[in-house]
Amino acid sequence: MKNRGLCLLLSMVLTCCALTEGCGKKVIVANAPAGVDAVAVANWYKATGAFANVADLLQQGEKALRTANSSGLLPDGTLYQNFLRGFGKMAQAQKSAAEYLKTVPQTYGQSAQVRISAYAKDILGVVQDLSNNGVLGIKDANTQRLVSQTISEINSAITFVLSFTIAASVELVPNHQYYFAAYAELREVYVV
Amino acid sequence: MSSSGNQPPAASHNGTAAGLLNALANVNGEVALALQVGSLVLPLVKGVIKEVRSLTGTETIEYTIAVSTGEANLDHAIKVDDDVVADVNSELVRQGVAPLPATS
Repeated sequence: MKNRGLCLLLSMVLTCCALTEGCGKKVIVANAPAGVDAVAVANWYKATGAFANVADLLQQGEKALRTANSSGLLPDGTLYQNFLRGFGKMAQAQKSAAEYLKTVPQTYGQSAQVRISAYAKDILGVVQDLSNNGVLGIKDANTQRLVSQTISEINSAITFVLSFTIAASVELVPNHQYYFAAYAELREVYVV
Repeated sequence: MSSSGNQPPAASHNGTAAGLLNALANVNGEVALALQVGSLVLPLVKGVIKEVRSLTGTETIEYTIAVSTGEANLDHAIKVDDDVVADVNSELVRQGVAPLPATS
């Protein structure tokens, strides 16, 4: 159990490192037009990178599910259908978030962040549901590991977006606090 | 909740350590990935270094580049999301159950 927790933490840390080039760095937007908040643009820019990454993760996970099904490792039935619905719902929520983000590159202030945090929480709700009620039902160990890792990485990417979303910053759960505390202590290098 | 996750505090850019790590990277050396908690260093994993990047520092990006890159990110996300939903619905129908309801 302890090892599993450590692996999860490590996965989250490495994922966040790999998410976007701006992930662990302070992003400064230069030469913003007059009246445009450069910090808001920087946060918007980082959010777009995270959402692009989540889209790739969703596709990776959805393909893994279908591959497992076609090879008999995740048979037809309720569990398979629940995972399909979960990944589909996350893609729908993320598409809505991405379409909204496209309209606010210059105005990613608090009201926009409230709306994005709502989409993010929808995605995290699915992540939590699949984590709590689905992953352990996958009998094939490799498929379970792959799906679990994908879900964990989606969780990290969305949590990253929430980490600089003003409206959500006080609502992150304790595990995420630990994750960010650990990440903040990570110094200079990682192994890829 | 600290928001330090996306902006870690300024790391002590130890020139000796950075130089050593770069040297290791150049010769595919092995290093332990560790978390430093206070004065304690907790090793997490060992592996061959393929890349060394600084997690700290500052990235400066022109406003026009930030916006165009962000829009490209979002276009990519929207397209991939559409593909995922289409694949999921196709598979749900094949399973004999209802596809996902459309969102507004």
